[in-house]
Amino acid sequence: MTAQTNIVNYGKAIQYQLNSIVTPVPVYAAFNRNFATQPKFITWMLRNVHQDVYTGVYQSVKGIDRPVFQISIFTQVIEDGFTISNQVLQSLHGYSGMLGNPADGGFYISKADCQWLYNSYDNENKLAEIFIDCTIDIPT
Amino acid sequence: MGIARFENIRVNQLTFGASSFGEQSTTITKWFDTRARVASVANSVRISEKYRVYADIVEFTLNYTPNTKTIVDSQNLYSIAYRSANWRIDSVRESNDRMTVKLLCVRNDPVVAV
Repeated sequence: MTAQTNIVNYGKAIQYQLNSIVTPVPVYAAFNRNFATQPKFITWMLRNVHQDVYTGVYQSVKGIDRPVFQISIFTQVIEDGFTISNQVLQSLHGYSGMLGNPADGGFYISKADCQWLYNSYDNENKLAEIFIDCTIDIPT
Repeated sequence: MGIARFENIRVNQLTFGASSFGEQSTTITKWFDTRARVASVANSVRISEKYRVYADIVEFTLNYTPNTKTIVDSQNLYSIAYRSANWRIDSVRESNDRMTVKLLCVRNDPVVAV
């Protein structure tokens, strides 16, 4: 029952965590021009940040936040994408503990729940894609 | 007979990374200072439906050296500082006698609404 964690720290923690899972594969917050030279990389996107409010009177009476971040894996070789997504699933699915860098806004999560959505191929930028949704439970 | 015009330029190396938030970043580090034969300094404007885009173009001629050969091989990894602005290399031409390398460099001024 406290104030909501700073959203900036959500972003930093996701970036740090993904980066530590898949290193040396680069992780970015958005698609960028590096796609032309990098055979594999990951981008993420955060959505559905919502911390339940239990009463209408006290702003601080809030429950657990369950935001979702989408992990997009881009690779030139389709099999590489599956390998990276397996790496992400093995270490993130069911994970409980510190998310992000404790020295830079990292915070505890009760649970990370990954759902592998689908794989695809983009013919325009010649990259195979895999999308994973990860729901994190952030206790207050 | 045209006048040869030599001016100081700095050749920079570009490295592409990501910030702690995962945003792409371009780091520019000095590689070496040199003098280049400068020609055809030009500023042009292109008007699209909504915007005016000012583009500067300049042509540098450098001696053919191991360093300039590296630039020819991958010109996307280098930029040139000239007149305190940062120029990207558009196209490169090695002379057939391997004496010089000609770099056509571009730079965009701020985009302005029409």
